Amino acid sequence: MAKKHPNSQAPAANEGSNLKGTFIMVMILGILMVGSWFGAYWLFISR
Amino acid sequence: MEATERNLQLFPKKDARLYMSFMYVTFTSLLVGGLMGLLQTFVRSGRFTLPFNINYYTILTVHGVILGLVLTTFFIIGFQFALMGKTVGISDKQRMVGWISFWMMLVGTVMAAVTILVGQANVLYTFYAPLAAHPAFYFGLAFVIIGSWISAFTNFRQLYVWKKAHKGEKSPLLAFMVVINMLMWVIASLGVAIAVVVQFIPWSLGMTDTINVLVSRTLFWYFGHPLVYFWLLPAYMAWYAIIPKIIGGKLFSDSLARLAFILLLMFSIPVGFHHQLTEPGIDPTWKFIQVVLTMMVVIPSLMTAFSIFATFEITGRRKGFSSLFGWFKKLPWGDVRFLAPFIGMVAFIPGGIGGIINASHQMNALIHNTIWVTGHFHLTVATTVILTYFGIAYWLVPHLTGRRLTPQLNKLGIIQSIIWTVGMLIMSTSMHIEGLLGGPRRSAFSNYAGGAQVDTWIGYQLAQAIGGTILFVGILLMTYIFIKLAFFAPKGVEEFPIAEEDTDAQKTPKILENWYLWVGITIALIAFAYTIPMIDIIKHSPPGSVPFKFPIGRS
Amino acid sequence: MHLHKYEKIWLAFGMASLVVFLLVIGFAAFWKGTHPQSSLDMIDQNNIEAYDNFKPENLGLQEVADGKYKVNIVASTFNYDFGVDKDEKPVKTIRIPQGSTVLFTITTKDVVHGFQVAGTNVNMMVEPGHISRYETVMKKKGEYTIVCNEYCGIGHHQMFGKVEVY
Ligand code: HEM
Ligand SMILES: [Cu+2]
Ligand SMILES: [Cu+2]
Repeated sequence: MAKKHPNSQAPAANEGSNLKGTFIMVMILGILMVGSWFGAYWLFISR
Repeated sequence: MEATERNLQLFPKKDARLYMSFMYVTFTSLLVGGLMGLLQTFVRSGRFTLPFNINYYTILTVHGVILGLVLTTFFIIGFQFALMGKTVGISDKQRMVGWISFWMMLVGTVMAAVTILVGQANVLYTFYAPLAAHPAFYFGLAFVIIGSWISAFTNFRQLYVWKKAHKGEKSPLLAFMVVINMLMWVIASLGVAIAVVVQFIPWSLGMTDTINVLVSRTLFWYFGHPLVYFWLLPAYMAWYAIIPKIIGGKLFSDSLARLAFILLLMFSIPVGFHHQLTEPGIDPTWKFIQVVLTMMVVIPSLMTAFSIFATFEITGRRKGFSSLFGWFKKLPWGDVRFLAPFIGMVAFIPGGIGGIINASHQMNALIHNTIWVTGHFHLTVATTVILTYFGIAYWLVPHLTGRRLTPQLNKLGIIQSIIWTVGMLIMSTSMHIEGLLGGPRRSAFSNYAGGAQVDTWIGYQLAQAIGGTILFVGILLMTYIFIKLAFFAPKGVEEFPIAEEDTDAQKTPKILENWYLWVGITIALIAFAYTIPMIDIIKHSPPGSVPFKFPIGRS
Repeated sequence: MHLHKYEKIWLAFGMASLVVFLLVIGFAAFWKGTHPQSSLDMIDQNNIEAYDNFKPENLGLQEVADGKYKVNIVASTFNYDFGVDKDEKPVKTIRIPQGSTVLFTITTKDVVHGFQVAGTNVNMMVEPGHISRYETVMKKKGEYTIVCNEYCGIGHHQMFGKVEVY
């Protein structure tokens, strides 16, 4: 698909962007998700 | 027409009137339903009894029906009509059909509401058989559903007409999203429509003697889960395609947004068993299969989380903030059109995580029918969804009435958002904790058998009354803001903020608009998830149930 | 369609977590047998006494073996029938020694009810024509409230009982 854009900037909107902050944010979210889930699982097992 | 120009061009009066009618019903519902919510928390605190012999379950039914079914559906349909009008246009005939849909839904709502208020339908918004409400309640529901279908088909027609006039062009993103949501709605509400029309109405009229309880519940939940996605998708529309414009950025990715919506269409329907995990009569293997499908529907939300953060970061960096989180500080925190939906996004983090826990098969026993569940959906629907709807209303209502969101109203909106956040934090957190301790939902105040366990529940119920009071103040404030925006704010032009793609964005693959393919897969998944267990349920049916009226106080 | 490198990692992480969740609960369910309550047994709700468990003399707590008990219950608006005690008075509290294995078996004579022993994993729907059952070990001492947690009518909040683990 990208071939249709001879413009070398084509992926700039996406691939080239610096998304470090985004990555850290979503990973925090992911860790919260895993942590809470296992917390609930532990509660289930212990009851 | 240039996109920015279009964003600033007001609708013709005739169109705006239709879209605004849906908004009037929405905000009236908010006030009525919110008052019920307040009274519920008061009753449950144990320090208050309802006057005039009003039954707790009457107000709870009003609250669930008016906020869960009426407010949401009216807002969604009105907002979606406005999106379609903006992006693909509406013809005179389509507008007329839109009015028919509006009136049909309103008549249905009034029928159901009156039946509830006179005490003939204390069945809660899930109306589980064999509790039997007055037939007028079921007729009312049927009108609301069928009325909404008329809107759905009008939306399909609007896009179809546009496509014919724009051969080879991709459909506008928001129109695409509206059509996905309405496709999901029609496919899903077929289930509840069959239950209401084929099972409940004849049974409540005495034309059939008995009802198959498990079949009716399965049909309801076949509808019930996509129902919550029907609420959520308009919020996602705003997050993907409106918020970027408000923060001064561009769409993150048109294709990924479409892909997320397609995944939501495919996986939000064949998952209803996750609401029936502790029920007898359903094979646990099929429950587990639907649990697996439920986890699939998490994926598009993971994509959404990434694309939201990325929109924020890219926009901030383009504005020149290069430090790791500098972009975050510079978001337009003082703009309520951004702040309210943003709080909604944050609430979706615990909301979504809670949802994954709820759906985890045997772990459901931890929370099933406890007040945790109520805490959960007051985060998801009553915060994430509602605050995003408010965020939309701040510009949509003045855009429709030819007025402006003044700085003072913007400030009131910010205060409103903060009040809501504080109130909900208190109410929802105490509901979550009380639920884990076993406190039941859908219950008037009771000491049960007494003892230490019950005492801790009551403590949390007091906290809920405090949170509920704060929330109700928020509702009063929101009503005030709405009335201002609808009738009194200064005349002017409020922008209809639709974000654009980057000029150098990648082309959206054609396959994303292959409706036959996506609807085909959706139906195949539903058939896979439901055919065998449904045949089992019908084949192994116990004797049907006669209508029970006395438990809900009907004689 | 193009995914940013970080988005690929994020989605891989997210999906892997979901797979782990499913493996954990799937293993527990299919190998250890801890499915949620899913009994497939049926009954005629208009004649529940035809079923052994629900004959009046079999209601309430029974010891079936050393450390193993069963509790049979009939739900109806707005009451749980746990049988009667020596004085022919309705039983409201079930007393069970700590560490016992208990099988709860319940059905309804009329509408849908819930049955939860609050603070334990005993939490099930009770539906006309079906029998619900769940087995658990009462691990901790204390008083546990039994609540009907599915709306069954305007007396719903008055439907309860108690389990005492000693
Ligand atoms: C003033 C704000 C609100 C308060 C104080 C409030 C309070 C409550 C309470 C205490 C319950 C549980 C009652 C029970 O289980 O016995 C409840 C249930 C519910 N609420 Fe709210 N709520 C509010 C706003 C909302 C909003 C904005 C929505 C949806 C858009 C909503 C939707 C629901 C639904 C669907 C139920 C379930 C009813 C049922 O179980 O039958 N609420 N609410
Ligand atoms: Cu669901
Ligand atoms: Cu009940």
